[in-house]
Amino acid sequence: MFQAFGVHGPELTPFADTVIDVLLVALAFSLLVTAPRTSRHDVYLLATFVAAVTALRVLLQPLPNVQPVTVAALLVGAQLGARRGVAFAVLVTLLSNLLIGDGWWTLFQAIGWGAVAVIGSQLNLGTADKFRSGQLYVAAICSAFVFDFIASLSIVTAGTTLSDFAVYLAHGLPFDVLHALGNLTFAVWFGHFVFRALETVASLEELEQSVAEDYVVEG
Amino acid sequence: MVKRTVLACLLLATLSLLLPVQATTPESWELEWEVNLADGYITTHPIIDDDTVYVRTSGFWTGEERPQVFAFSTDGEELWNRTSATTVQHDMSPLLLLPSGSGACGAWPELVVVGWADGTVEVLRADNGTSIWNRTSTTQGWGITGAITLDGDHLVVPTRTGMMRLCISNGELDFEVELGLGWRNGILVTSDAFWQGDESGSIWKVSREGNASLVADLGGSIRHTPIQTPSGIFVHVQRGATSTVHLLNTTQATTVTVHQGGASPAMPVSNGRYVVTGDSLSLSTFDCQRNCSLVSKHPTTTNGEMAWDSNQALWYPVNQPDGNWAVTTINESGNITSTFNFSTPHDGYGTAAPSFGENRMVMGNDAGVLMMYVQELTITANAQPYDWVPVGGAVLFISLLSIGAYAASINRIDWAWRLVLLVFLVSTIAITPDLSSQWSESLTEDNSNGYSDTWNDSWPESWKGTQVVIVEIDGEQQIAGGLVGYETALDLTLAAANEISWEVDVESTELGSYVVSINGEEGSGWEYFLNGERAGQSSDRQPVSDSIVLHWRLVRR
Repeated sequence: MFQAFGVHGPELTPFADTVIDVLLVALAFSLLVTAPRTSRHDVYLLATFVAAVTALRVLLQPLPNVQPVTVAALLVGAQLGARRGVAFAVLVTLLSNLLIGDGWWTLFQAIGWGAVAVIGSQLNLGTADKFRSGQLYVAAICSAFVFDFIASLSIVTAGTTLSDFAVYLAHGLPFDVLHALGNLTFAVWFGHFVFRALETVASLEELEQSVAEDYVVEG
Repeated sequence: MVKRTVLACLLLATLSLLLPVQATTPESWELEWEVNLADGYITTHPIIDDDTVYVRTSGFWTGEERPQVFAFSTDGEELWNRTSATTVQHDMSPLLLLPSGSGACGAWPELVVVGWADGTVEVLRADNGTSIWNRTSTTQGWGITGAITLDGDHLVVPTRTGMMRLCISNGELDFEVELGLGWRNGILVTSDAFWQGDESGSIWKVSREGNASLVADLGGSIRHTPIQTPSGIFVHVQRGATSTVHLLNTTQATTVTVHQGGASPAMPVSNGRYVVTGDSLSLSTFDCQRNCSLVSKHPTTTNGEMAWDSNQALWYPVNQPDGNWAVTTINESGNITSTFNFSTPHDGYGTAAPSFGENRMVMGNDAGVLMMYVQELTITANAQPYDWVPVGGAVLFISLLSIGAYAASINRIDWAWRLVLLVFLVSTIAITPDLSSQWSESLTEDNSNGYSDTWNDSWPESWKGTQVVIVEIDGEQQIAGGLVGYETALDLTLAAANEISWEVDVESTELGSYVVSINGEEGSGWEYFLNGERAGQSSDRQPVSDSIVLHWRLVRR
């Protein structure tokens, strides 16, 4: 399949590559800055999570289409909101692709995982004590197909017909299924754990907010 | 329960340790004796029967020495020798050992049949080397250099200028026929005719009555016995710095070029379905159930004889200054699976194959040293690296499932679910490459259609109905056609690249082979089309039909 199409979209010059990467970094930081109630603690924790998921993605790269980033983006979106979720997705994509291969597809992967983070932000997974795992599992499976579709758009060029693209998607179906199964496995094994860890961040934010609000009231 | 699970895992692990691969290795052969045959090349394989070894030398021609035929006991004692005072250089016609028998012309004892380079066929008693009869043939510079073949109660002899058929018992001539000049050009005997190549690349068919007809003219030189295969007659033609492999359709008298190889081809051998060729670049295997399409290649230099041992491993001399013998195993799919080197105390140039008896092997080389090896009867365990992955995987799977079952039994359903899912994921990862390949194949349309639409009228007419490959770089096309029998797009591509002398860089991945570059060009990738339609999977998994236009295009964007 991959040889038949053989290419990953346009071959970028180093300059164009750098421009795209800089734009994505700028987007990630602007989203972090504009996200509500971002504390230094949040930034540290998010940075740690970005580093951990990046390492995991690089580590699991030899496995075909097993993508830990997808479930991570869902959970970050669900717990920390769409902006931080998208920022997380963009940073993990950039950092991991620096290690395993950067190019035109980075843009589409960042958009794909960003979209997954936005989907995550629309989920209501409850609390750590009353975790709605079923919702996470369904979202994990569906987001595999969403991400793969968006990432596949990177091969589209002026010469690609709709039928070419449909054939391309059809050939990739076994790998989409594998991605979905990998997501489900990650969600079952680590979903609750990560959700709880990220809830701590959210709780700290809420605590800081309430302290600030009390101060304003008392002041 | 835990104890039982651990016990089961330990049992499985122990069982897996008891599954060594049994194989022979170079170490399993031990040199028993050797003899220097004094100033003579051994350029054709010795023969070994129950208690005797027969070998011939070609003579160095530096002094008074002359070519000889020797018989040794399997203990290394010389039993007799026969020297020709009249022969010329290049005595390399393989000896033929015949058991005693009888026919229309009379009876004969056990014989050694010798073809001499002065054109004489001489039949010797195997027990004492005395001459029973001899017959001369036409010479032109030299005489008999090819393999004499048995045909019932007759011998079929490749002479310098053609062939002759003689009674075994008394040498009476059945027929003699003039063909092209020959060199090491043995004769293929089939039920209805005799087939022989010559120094002009012609293939001759001679009927049982001795009527000759020219069947094909391939150019180059055919210096081996043609091989009969299920797909036709197989020949490896020597041409200057290259060689070509051809298949002759005997009913239609048409030939197709199957492959292009390196210089100085060896004498190909067959084990039924697969034919193996050698040359100065490589050893190659061909699947002759499927039009003798190329299956695999192994880089080496071998220009003489090759021989199968009793385990169906192929032995051949590596014809280099420090050459030894190489032993190659070929699996049921015709792929070369392993090759090991077999060194002797007298490594050097050589073209003679070894011969095998019961637990014995005898070999000689250009240094003129005959060596007898015996095989130790102990089988070496774990001689080849054992592939632990399947056993390890099975043990891991069973362990995880057992633990999952245990978790379920103590109501830890969450853990049972996790373990089962993990096993399922790992299994799916393992089967996805094959599954994906099958899936892509099912989506791929039959690529035999559209050939006429993609056919270009400027191409040679002889390419019609064959496999054609176009390699396009920046609008410039290199085209190779007239190829036949290739089964996958990658095999066809490699054959075409060989024709146009371009390098193809292929990277092997779990998802198939990826063509990284052709002629050093990578661009942002290569894409390929079959009869104008975009292909659906990696080229090594993409089947191609007999009439196909495979178009590779470099993408620069």
